[in-house]
Amino acid sequence: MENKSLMENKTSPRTNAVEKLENYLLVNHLPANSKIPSERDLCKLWNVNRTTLRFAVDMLIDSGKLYRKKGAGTFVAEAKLPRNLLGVNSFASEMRQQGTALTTKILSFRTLECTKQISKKLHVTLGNKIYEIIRLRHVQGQPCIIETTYINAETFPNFENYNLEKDSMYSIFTNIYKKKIIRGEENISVTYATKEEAAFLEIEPDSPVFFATGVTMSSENEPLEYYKLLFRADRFKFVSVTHRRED
Amino acid sequence: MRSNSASGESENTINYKTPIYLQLREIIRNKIEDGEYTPGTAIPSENELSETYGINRITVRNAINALVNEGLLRSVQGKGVFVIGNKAEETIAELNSFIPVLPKQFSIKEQVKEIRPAGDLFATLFNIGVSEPIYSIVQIVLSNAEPISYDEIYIPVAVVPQLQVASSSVFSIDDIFEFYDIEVSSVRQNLEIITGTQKTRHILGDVPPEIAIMKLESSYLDNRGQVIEYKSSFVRSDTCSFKVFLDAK
Repeated sequence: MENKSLMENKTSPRTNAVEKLENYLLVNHLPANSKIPSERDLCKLWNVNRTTLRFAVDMLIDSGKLYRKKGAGTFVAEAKLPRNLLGVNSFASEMRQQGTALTTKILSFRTLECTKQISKKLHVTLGNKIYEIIRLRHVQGQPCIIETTYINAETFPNFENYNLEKDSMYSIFTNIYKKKIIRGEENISVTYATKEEAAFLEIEPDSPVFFATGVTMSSENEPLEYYKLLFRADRFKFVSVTHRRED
Repeated sequence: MRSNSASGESENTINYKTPIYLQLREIIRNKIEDGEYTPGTAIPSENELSETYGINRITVRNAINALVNEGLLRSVQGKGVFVIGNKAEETIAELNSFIPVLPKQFSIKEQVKEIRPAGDLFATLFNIGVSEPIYSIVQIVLSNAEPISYDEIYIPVAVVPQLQVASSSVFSIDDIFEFYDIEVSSVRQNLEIITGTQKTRHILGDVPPEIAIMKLESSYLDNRGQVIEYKSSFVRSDTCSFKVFLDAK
């Protein structure tokens, strides 16, 4: 068919090799850190030249799917953990659902006077008392997230009495203060880790990290918390699945 | 109001009993309803319509404006007047969780639209044969001539065989799916930070290495769980962020 041969001209050998390699990883479900066949073997398998294959491998390294170890070969990168955007869930309960080990360490717990910026988010009068809680989350033994939370001290009096390393903040909100979070809005962008942040997260300073900020609201439409999260970009991705509403 | 349906004459001719622009409005409306003018395509030009019906251009324009105001047609400067179908209640855009926060002024420029064989990867993703044809579309989002993001879109030809005629530089893929009643029932998306290849950095305006690139992957599925569109967007992290709304489930 003439039509078919016309079509085949449209994918370059390089694109072809990239897609073949990507498909190879997809269908073979290779576990993280397993070695992929040598470049020579893959060249033979797909009948492509070395330069083209090298291009494809580099491409998948740049997109975070593979990594190369000098003298040892090319390996499958660790899958990134999903930060699910299905709804407002406490991070802890979400991780538990996924069966992921999570530990929390308090880096700082302070009482502050409400600043202009926080006042905008929490609708608290300037100068009123707010709590600032900074926590470091370890996922599967690796430090991954720095979480800074601001809450109104009037809404959550004596918050320092609770164990934020053991209990989830959301369960304290619900069970002790009878405040239930029903919705939220989050903004996701990229920032670069400062020296201190990088040290906590055990990454290089200036590495790009996800920066997510948001406000969660109660059923009475009152802002409950304002948060800022720093996520390690090499360990996390944001994930969502939405379905059309049934009529 | 069907002005001339009782007259027994063809609905596609002009008489002198009702205002002419109202009659032309009904003619165009009927042609859309009958499927002669299909969603996503341009209707004949003002000149052609004025010649066909022997009426002046001002009258033609009045008829078209009335339908533009009703939301049945969309006028695109320099391109023509396009048919819009009936809008779905919940648009595909609403199913996207990640809402790009873009500068106020932006435009979308289509770079390439071609048909190519699926190949191994897209055969797997779309669950089709390796040599089945797919559309491959590349578009760039620009603000003040500066690229912000660049999208690669893949759709099996079998999903929208009509895509060739529908002008995708005027309508988004979402619009086109809606026109042809192709229902997207779910969307899977994931957002990550990547190094980005040299090519990606170049297309995005030679992004310096210290600026990160975000990659948003979206798979659009029909009600049988088949992927009918796959899209990768590469976004400059210094010019675009994403907003998401969270609901208690």
